[in-house]
Amino acid sequence: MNRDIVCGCGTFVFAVAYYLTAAAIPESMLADAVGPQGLPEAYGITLAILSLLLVGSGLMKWRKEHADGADAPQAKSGRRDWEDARRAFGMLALGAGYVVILPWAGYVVSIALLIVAVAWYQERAFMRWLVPTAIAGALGFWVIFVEVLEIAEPAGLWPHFI
Amino acid sequence: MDFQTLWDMTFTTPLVPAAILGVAWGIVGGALPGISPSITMALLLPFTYGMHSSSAVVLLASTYFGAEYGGSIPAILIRTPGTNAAAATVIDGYAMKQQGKAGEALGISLYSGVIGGTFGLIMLVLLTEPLSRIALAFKPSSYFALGMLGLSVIGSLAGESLIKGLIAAVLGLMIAAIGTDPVTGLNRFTFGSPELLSGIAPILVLVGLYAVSELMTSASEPPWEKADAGTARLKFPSPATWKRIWPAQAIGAVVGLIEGCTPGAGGTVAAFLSYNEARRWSRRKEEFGHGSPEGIAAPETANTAVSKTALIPMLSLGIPGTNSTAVLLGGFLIQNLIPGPMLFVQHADIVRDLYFGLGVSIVALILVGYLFMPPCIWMVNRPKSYLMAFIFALVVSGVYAIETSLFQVGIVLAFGGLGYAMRYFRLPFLPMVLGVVLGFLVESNFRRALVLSDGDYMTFLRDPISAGLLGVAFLFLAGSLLRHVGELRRHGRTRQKSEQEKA
Repeated sequence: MNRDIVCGCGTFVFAVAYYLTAAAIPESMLADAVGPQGLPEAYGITLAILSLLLVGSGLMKWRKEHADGADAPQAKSGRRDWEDARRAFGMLALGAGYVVILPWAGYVVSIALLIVAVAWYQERAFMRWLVPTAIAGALGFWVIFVEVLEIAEPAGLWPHFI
Repeated sequence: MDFQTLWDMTFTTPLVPAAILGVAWGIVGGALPGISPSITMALLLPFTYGMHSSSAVVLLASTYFGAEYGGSIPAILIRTPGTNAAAATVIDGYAMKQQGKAGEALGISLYSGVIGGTFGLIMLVLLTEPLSRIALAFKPSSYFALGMLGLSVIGSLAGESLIKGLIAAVLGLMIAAIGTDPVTGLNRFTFGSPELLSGIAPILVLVGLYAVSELMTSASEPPWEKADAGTARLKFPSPATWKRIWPAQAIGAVVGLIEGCTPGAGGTVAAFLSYNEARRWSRRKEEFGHGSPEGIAAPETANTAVSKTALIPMLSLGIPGTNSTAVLLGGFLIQNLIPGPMLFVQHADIVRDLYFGLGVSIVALILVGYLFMPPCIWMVNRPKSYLMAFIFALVVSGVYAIETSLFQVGIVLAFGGLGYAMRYFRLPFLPMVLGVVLGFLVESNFRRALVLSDGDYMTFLRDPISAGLLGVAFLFLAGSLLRHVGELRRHGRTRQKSEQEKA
């Protein structure tokens, strides 16, 4: 199945869910002729129509590719895409990990850990200068954001131990 | 502008430091392969929150200009374009480097950037000012029509497919509908979350889509080559070189003007188009591809001219034609400035400051261009993994700094995931960003116009500005549809022909 069909199906499901959520917005005494749900409902319908058009054009393309016998290279690129997506969402998971640990570990430790984790993940190896670089980087970020810009970054649980 | 105003702007406001800093940051960001001008600008957005409005927009606009030049540095030195627009510079820039003329190539790129920037700025000032005269005639119906025009133009011109462009635009409008309803005050799509009551700020969408999704993509990309610092001393082009490259620069400037004013085109199209035109009109066509100075001058003049002329539709109509101007539009919104006709009436001082800052950025490009060459090469030579780790740290720290909210960091990461999916499915970012940015304007003015006309939908056709803009929007959509159908038919005929030949 080609990307357009998958994308069209995904956006169609989203459009239906969005339309139903928009339709459930309660009526208001202050509402104008259009109402708070008017345009969101229109967006949902428009997206559904566009999604079906995308599925249609994807099916035409797929039929053409099928006729040309382009299945084998597609399967190979599909495996590579999956591997790329796995690595990409691994990066996102590191960001999510930062969000989770920041309130507990505090800003400096969390940023240092994020730098170590991202650099290690990108390089796929542990480099000799990684930890000192991460510590120096975290202190640099602390100076810029906490000392210079005066942002109240979380201190974590450390003040309880001191 | 009198001498006293000019003196005050130079010495009593932070416009000059903002322009210099913007150019410096832009050059460094543009020089890093994979970090496009829009990403370089998006990384700065959180820092503009507490800044003076004029300084913030000058900083971002100067970054755009600096990044377009910065992209040529790795293009010439390591055959890896720092920006998409610099891909055309790779062809002759790297060939010149292999001939031991890296310094000359970098010099041609820098001074072509200065010429492109100067020409672009003159055109920007000349072409945007007259629009301020029609600003006062705009009504709510006209603003609605302007929003629709922006969405239809970008939806039909950005990306490879009309359907995908429009899907992205509608998704953007859906995101803009999150939060409190502009007329009744009812909550929509907030799912009980107090953080969503004020909607999703465009800055979160911009940083997520451009910066985080790029970081995600970089996880599976190989490291880039290293640059040789010894060969990278900028050289001022000789008189003979100037004599040879000026026609190519003129072509680049004109192409940059046309492409900058055309929404959806941008620096990349301008660079390749001007390269082809320069080769077509050159007396030494055979040297193109083998280290022709004209092959650097034309695309570099064009893409830096675009960094100024792309501001014409953005400032005058509020329509960002490129990803970078979309980020710049986000910077305007952070400062509560809405680009469009009224900007020239309500905030004429900021427009004047922007022109001044852009002028300073051109001078700054020469100075910073020389000074920042060694740091740029140092940065390019660092391991890619360290750079990506520091950029990620900058993104999460910068976004948290906006409202000291971890929820917003989470939103940015979510938009990073969405951006990655959009890249995979080849859905363009620009229409979505425009939908997010224009969504509120479109809805509030649509409903306000209907309230003022007692629910009469004909009000959009009775207002001549609205009718004209909606007509142009319709023509754009119809034209794109016809082009799409024509391409499908042509494709079908070619396929039929090849099948017949096979048979």
